[in-house]
Amino acid sequence: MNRKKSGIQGEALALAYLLKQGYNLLAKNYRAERCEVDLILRDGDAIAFVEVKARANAAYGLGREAVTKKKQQNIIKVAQAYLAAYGMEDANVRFDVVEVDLAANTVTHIPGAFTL
Amino acid sequence: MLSKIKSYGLMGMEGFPVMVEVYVSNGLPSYDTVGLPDAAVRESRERVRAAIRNSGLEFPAKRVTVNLAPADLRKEGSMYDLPIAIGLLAATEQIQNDALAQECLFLGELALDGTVRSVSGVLPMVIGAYAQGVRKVVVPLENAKEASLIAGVRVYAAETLKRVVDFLNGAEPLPVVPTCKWDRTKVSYPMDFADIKGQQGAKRAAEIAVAGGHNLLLVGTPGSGKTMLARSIPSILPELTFEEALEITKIHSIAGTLAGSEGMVSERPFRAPHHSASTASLIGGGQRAMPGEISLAHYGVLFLDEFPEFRKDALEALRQPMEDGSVTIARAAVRSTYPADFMLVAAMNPCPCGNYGSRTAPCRCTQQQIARYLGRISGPLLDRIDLHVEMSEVGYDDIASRQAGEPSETVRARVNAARQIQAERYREEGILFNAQLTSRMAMQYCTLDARAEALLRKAFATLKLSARAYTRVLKVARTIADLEGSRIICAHHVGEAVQYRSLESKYWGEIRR
Repeated sequence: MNRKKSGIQGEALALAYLLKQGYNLLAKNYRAERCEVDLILRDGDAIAFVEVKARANAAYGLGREAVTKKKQQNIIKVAQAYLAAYGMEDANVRFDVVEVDLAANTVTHIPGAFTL
Repeated sequence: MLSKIKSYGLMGMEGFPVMVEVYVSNGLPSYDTVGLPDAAVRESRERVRAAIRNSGLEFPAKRVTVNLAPADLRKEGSMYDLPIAIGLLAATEQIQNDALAQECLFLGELALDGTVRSVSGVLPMVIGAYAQGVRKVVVPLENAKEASLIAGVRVYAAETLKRVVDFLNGAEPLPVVPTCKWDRTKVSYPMDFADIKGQQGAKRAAEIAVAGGHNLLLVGTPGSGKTMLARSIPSILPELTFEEALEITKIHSIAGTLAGSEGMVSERPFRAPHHSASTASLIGGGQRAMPGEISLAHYGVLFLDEFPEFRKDALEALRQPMEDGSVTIARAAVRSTYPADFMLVAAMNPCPCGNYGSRTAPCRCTQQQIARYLGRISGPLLDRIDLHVEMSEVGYDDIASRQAGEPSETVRARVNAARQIQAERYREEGILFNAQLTSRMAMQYCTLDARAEALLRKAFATLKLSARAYTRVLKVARTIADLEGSRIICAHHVGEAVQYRSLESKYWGEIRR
């Protein structure tokens, strides 16, 4: 299984999980400022920007550990662009990380994983 | 979504009210602290976050702005953790009773598990807040006793953040610390005057010095009991008054040297820094301009053993505070004035080998070595020490004597009586003892009879006294008269006072010529 495939599979699993939690999908792989955020969803009155990290096994560390400071900054940049584009600067915003373990087929959701 | 919580800040001995404003809004989740916070205040974010989560409460994933007003004064220290946490919880409506939260003043550092940790400077901050109308304070449990010294303030002892929140929500009251009654519990001193064999002259000088708050210099060969005498001085120090104790406690509260939950200081401080002490540690200093040894010895004794071994610049820096009774420490960011009305007790050998002037052991120092050694004590510094005493070896008969000397208790009674007289006489002047007299006051209160006048005139010429030394001799004579209960200064009072000045010409006379 190559990395691209495992990424797409992970995102699909994460999305399915979140939709089951009652989230509504706003955008998938939204791109701005040469960066990308995997999923944008609405959770009640909050908007969640979600980074999905899929792992075949934990040999190279957990998925959440892979969301580095640099990656966080990129997601924040996209979020700012997205909110500006839709005139939602005053929205209640959250940054989530979803960890997908492809071997065990489990999903771990970390709401509010990081802030500015 | 906006909350305002009262807190307090310190700049030296003086404080200023700080309003902790917390604004929680939508937008990208972030956390900003503004209002000139120092590193400890900026780091409070992580402590507050962990403490709130570990108290079973919710830390908002929203846009948080913390403002410490007034915005132009620097905020230092960790005491804003608690007010910031309370502000955050009030702004997110996790605290319902806003009125109570706004009425109280909050001080305290937070541990990651939500425990409230002690902070320094609580007493001066509570005093300042009381003057500005605050009547309820929430302070760390360990600081509760010192805060409770102020009558009229309701002091709530905070153990954990959770309990403070429960209190503000009306779920469970916080313990109120009863106003602390100041008790002068009798302490036993490790050393008593009765234990010192011989050395009658030095003991007498120590008594005079303590009675009038004068500075004392002990010169003597090694083993003559200089250190022992100095260390037994606390046992004859006059009793503290409430006002004195309050001021001492304030300084020690700022320096963070108050022992545990002791509350108010009940003893006069005795500070004995090692001779390697730096100028900043003696005078005060550092980035935050903290009080030094001389301020920690306020209304007590600063004992400098091996006086000439201290760094020259450190010793010379003592001069101005010795004259003024206070010290102003200026640093780039802060400028603080601390009281420093201490009694200096200095002890030294007469020469590097210590045996100069000894009857039993030969001195092996050259004249040059002696001159260099003594020369480390400058004239102006020596001038400010009122009593100079020589201590020689104690003879066998004195050492072996089983007869107990006069106990400290008796000496202390005389000292207290003399202090009483002084306090009464200077009621209008706002000073407490003779050493605090200005030269104008000295002329007014130190009335000499005719024979005393004549004796002082003669001594002034033969000892070549400076104008400063003249005033100081007058003050010492005043104290000796007070110990005797005499209103007028007589010839024998002046005679004794002048005699405590004669060492200067004996040791320093030659090298200064």
